[in-house]
Amino acid sequence: MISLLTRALARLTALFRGPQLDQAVREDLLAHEELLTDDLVACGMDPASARREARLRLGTAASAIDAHRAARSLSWVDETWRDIGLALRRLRRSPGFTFFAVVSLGLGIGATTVVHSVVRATVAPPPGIRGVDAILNVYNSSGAVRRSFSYGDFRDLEHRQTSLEHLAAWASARPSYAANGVAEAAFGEFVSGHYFDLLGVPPSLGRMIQPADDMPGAPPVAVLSHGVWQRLFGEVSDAVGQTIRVNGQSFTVIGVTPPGFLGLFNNGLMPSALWLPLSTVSLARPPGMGFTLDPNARNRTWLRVKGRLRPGISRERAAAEVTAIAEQLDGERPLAAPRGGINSNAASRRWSVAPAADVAINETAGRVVRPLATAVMVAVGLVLLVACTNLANLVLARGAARRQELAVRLALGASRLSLVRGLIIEASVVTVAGAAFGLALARAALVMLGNDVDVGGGTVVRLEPRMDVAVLVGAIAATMLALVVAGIVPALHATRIDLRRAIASEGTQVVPRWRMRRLLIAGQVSVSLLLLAIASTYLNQVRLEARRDPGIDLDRLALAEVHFGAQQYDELRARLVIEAALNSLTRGAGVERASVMSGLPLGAGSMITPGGAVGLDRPSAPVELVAASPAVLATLGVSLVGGRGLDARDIQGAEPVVVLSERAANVVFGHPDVVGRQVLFKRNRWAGEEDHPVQSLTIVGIAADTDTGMVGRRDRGVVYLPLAQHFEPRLLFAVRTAGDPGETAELLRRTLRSIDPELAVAQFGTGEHLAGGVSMFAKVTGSLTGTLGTFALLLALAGLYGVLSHLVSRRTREIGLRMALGASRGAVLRLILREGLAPVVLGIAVGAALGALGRTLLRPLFIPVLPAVDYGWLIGVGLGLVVAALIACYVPARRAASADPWTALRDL
Amino acid sequence: MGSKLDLLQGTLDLMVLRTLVAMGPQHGYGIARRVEQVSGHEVLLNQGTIYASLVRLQQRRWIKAEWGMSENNRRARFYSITRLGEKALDARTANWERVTAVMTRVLRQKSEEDR
Repeated sequence: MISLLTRALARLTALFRGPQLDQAVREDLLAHEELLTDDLVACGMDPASARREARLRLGTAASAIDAHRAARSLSWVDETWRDIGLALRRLRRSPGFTFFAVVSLGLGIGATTVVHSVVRATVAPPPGIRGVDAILNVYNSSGAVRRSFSYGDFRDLEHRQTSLEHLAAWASARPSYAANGVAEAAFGEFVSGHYFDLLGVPPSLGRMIQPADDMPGAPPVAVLSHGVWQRLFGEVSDAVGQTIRVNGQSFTVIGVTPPGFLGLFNNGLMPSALWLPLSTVSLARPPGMGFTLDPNARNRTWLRVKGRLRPGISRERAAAEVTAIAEQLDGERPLAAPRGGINSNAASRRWSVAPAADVAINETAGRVVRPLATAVMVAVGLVLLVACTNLANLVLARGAARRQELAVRLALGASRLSLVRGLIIEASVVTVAGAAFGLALARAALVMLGNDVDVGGGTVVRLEPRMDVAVLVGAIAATMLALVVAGIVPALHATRIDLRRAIASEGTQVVPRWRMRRLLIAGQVSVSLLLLAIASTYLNQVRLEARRDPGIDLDRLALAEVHFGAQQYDELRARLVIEAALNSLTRGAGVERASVMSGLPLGAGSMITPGGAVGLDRPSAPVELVAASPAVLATLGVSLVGGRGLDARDIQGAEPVVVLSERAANVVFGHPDVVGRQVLFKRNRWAGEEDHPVQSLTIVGIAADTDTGMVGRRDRGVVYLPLAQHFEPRLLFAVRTAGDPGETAELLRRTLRSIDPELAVAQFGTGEHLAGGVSMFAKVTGSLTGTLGTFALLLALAGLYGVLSHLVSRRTREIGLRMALGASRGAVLRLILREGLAPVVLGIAVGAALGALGRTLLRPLFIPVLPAVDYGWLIGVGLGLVVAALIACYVPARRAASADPWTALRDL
Repeated sequence: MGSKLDLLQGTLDLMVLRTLVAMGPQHGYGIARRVEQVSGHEVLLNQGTIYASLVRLQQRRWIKAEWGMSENNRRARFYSITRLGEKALDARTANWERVTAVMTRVLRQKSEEDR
């Protein structure tokens, strides 16, 4: 027992003292050789032959040292090193296999890592926040709809609750801001005094907003994002103390956030530009959404509330307290009676809490995003699986080729364990190399993805995909999976050999297990086909949307959105700017027409016009409202069906007029021939606005229909009203150009700036860019699944090629025999091609069925109803696949067919 | 040289230990030469194997090594037996004698039956 211990101990120390011991033995051997030589010389031998004899008797030094090493070492460590060296040498000898294995595994692992990172970044809590797990969101509702708080309720909750520390409220707005001659508009947040304490965001410059800044009457202050500080203040440290104009009002800059903090809006996916105290809402007056500090306006809910759970307090206790406070408040300050409709208030407060980390993107998007994220991850997992099965296939094929070698080694006394270990080590070497390659790829892709992504509609999205620990663990898990699938299973398979038969048959008659591999290839093909089917659905949608004529010449428009109201320009000042801008623009190079309007009938997000309804005394129609300067129809390229367009006669005080779209006229009157008649119109009330009066308008013209709301949709009418009679505080400058709309958009922005440097342009760009309807979601999903599908397909084809080549090389003799017995070249070619194509065709059948199923499930998401099976697509992709598979099979098949029957037979 | 004896596993270790007891500290060459002499040149070692045995014995702490100078002024390691080694040698010798006695008896009986 003790001797066993001391031996183990000695082996361990020898591990660390290995080189030293080797040296000692080498010296011993030298001394030995010298002594022996001297003795032999003394016996009368001549020195040269004495030395030769001494060396002979001593045995080679190397074998002695080896014997010595075997005696002393913890053998598995040494043997592992030896196996790794062996594996490297063997891999170097088949560079094709190695290259293919490493690349396909690397791509698989890389894709998995990137997509996992992106998905995690998308559904993750906002970046730059300390201890997000302890933060609770408080909702003014208990169900799936998670509603906001009124100002009064938030303050009452803040004062009464005890279980949360740093209770804070925030609301997102889209302020305009300007300093040092740069004016911008972007998302910003109004926040209560404890907001930054709650989130644990330290200032990178100056200080953050504190409770004192959120007192009524406190001087207006602003915290800037890192980006705004860069762009407006050139990163100078004395930005603190300077003035920035927000919505036309002066604010003092007190600090800058660190670059990693992007705000809470959409979990930081849409970065916020600045943070203002709640108390400045009455000064900055953000439009819409019912921002109010009136403590009695308990039905105006606009604040999101969060708090950090105090140490030692359970979430249940916090929830109970919040509920109790809600009941108290119901007694003290009952809510106004419900108004009905989707935005109605409940009669009583049903407050609830939920972990902030549960929110994916935002309170409403999460329900869509989480399943989508899962689906994407599964799709990527499938691609990785394809990569792994590929490798498994290849290793199996190689294993078959190496049966003879393994059998000989077994016969020479190698243990099965050591053979399996060798094979596993070989697989590990490949896997590690593939993983390193994949991680390098992933890093490069993530760096590229980390920048701002312009998603159109003037909105910038910032993903902060990080290779965080979880992603790394995921990648390692994927690697291990690959290792198990690709290494151990084939290794066990390859070493379960009937020795005698394997040696005797010299490996040739042992036909590799083709059936299993055939299933693997069929599986790969169907997975890639499924992904491609989904991709085609989305890409089809993108194509349909792009091809569709929206009724407006978006491709010839340059647009710039200006929110005069938000910047607290009164109507008179705004009209002066508009007049000067239109005058200047009409003289601009390449400008055909210029006009200003309250919005386009269609467009994404903030481009949409306020709506309304016409024909209130008749069948009424919901409409898009376009209040515009006279040239609007000509600028947009909307033709007149009857009557006249808006013109210079339609000024303030003149007869109130309207131009209806054909559809609006049809719905209200049943026919479009209504010029000269009266129609009742009422503008929709936006949150925070009073009701608008019903107006009676004279119809002076009928305009052709356009898409409304979003491209591809024509379910609403449009009314065109003279801007002179219906001023709107948020306006869109539109320029129709004969030239490049991108350059014209730049001209538009420059013109506006030269007229009023303080005026912030909320967004500007080409019509296609800002309002072009191709939905981002379809684009992203389509290209993602398309890439993954193509990728999986390439992998599957590469796998097919690899396996077939191996198979053919194993069957050279059989093929030679066939040819010697009279098979023609063509017959052999056909044989191999048939074997190669069979699993591909099977895969296509299964994949097409799965793809049709997927499309059926996705169909409701699309406006133009898609056929369940898209035959054109199926035939196209199917044919493409078969052709690609033919190519993948052809090379090995030709090699087989060119086998020289004589050579093959001679070896028999 | 005629046919030489194949050594049974473990017997070389025993010979080395015996040699060290008989002769005191010795270097590898000395041990090898002594083994050959004592065996009446019946055993001809691949002399390298003696070092495998020496390392094995060191690991069991039955012998220890010290640097010294050989007759021809080379640095060489001199091995000597430890207390642990002496005990092991006694035990192994006893064991060996029992085994050989048994073997001898068994083999002799067999050759008688053959006759």
